[in-house]
Amino acid sequence: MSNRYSLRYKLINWIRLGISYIVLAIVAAIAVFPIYYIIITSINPIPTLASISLRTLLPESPSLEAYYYIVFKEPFLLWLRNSLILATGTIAITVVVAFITGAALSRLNIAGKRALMITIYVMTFFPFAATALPLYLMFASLHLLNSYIGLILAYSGGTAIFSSYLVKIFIDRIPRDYEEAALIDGLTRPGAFFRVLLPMARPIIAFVALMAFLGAYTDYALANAFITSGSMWTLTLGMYYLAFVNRATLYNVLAAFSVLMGIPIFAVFIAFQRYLVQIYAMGGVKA
Amino acid sequence: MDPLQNLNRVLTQYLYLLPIIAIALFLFLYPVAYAIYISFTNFNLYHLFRYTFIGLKVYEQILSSGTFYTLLLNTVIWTVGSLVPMVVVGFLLALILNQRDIRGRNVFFTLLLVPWAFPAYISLVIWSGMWNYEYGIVNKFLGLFGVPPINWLTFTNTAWAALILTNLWLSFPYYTAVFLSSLQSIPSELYDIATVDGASAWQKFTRITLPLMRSAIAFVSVGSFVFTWNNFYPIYILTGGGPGISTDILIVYTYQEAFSYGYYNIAAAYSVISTIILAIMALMMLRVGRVLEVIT
Repeated sequence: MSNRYSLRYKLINWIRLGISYIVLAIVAAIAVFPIYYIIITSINPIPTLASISLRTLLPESPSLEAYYYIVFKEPFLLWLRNSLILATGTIAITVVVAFITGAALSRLNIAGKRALMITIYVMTFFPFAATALPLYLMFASLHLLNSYIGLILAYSGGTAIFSSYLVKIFIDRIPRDYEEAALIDGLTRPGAFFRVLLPMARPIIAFVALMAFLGAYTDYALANAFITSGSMWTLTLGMYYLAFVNRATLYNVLAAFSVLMGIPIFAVFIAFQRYLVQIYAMGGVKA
Repeated sequence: MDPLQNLNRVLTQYLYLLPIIAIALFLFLYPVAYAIYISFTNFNLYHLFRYTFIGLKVYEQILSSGTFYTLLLNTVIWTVGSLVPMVVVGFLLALILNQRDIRGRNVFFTLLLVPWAFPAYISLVIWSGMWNYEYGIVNKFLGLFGVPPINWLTFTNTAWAALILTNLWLSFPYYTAVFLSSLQSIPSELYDIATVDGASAWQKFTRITLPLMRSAIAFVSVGSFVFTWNNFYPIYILTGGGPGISTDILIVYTYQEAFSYGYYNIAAAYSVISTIILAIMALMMLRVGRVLEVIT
């Protein structure tokens, strides 16, 4: 009897594990496929979508020609420069504002703190479309369209608000003892924030900087609205143009563009996945 | 402490909040107020300098048009249609990965994270090529099984299928990751005790796992509902709202009205209406999910 029972138990276990592995393998294949497909396309001689077939999913006569073309024959480097300038500015404003706000909201006893916190949380609900249009009109009258500072301000508005909320949640979990000891030792309040709390908040600061970077680096909607001059174009605008407007784009060149623009982000994300997932799980963040 | 010094101390404290208040005012509240204002005028590309206050006319026009209800219905289809499969698939995969005897968990987990790690904007450009009718790789794969090519993005039903599948691909890793990390935070002793008490796997799932996951699921769902409602890129890039406006949603339509056609007042009114609807639903869900107690 006990023998039959354990046999049955073993069988159920086998089936459970078998199904689990099959599901995981299929989902993993689907998850990876589009990225694999674009990398392969970028090194194969594929001028148009029409020349993609199931056979071209294996490297045929791999070459880096498409990479040469995108970097030197298209204004890729100009677009990259513009994207990086915007991202750097956004990171600077976001990190400074988010740290100061998060620290103050977490540590100071200020009247109206709870109201401000809820306001900040609710503000993260607003679609960018609700502010993009009025900001566009406002910046048009301030002559801030077609300028780095205009877009940096527009990006920072969204990211700073959201990041402050994240930093606050993170700092809430750091014990107060260290700063209190520092305050007793004669450090001022700002001193305690920047010399004691800031080093301990480094993980969330790095995270917030990454979010700010991605906000600027992967934005198309605001850049498309705010930028008209070609010399200000960003990577996303360039990609949209090459993919959907310019019919003469070679498909492997577009693929090489996708790889060059996407893989650095991808690598950072995969390298720090454990730690990123922890923070996402903490704040209910959605990216 | 004398009152003057006390006042000084309070003012210094508010100094820390000055930057965020300035940002909220100039980059957020003022623009929103301005959007509300122009939604009551005839301000558009054709009345740039000589516009007048026209009251609720724009709202009347929108609310009495079929377009608005189509867009609203589409937004609900998009949000709920994406959210349900994403949460279910994410949760199931988290449960699979959380089994104690799964080998290679870290490898599988990393592979499942891939769609999330690659910038969504680029992935969408890639997917728009993959869904192509004549040359797309999706149809070529289906061809292997003898399925004739499907014109995915030009018919309403298949366009929705393509949009929701793409969105599922983009988003399931987030749910898997967040749910897995909250599954792992459940103390394993609880399951051991339940096993000793003779509980079945199903009983353990419904009595331990689900109740302890409740707040994680609520928190994630509210955030994701808002995010998906306002998710601009999948529809903008894959279908542009087409065919016609049959897959258009409020945020994409608002953007197009403003920046493609220059109807600033109509776009502003749409964003006001969309935000009000979203805020009401989000607040209701926050109440039910008791999220506000968690964040403050």
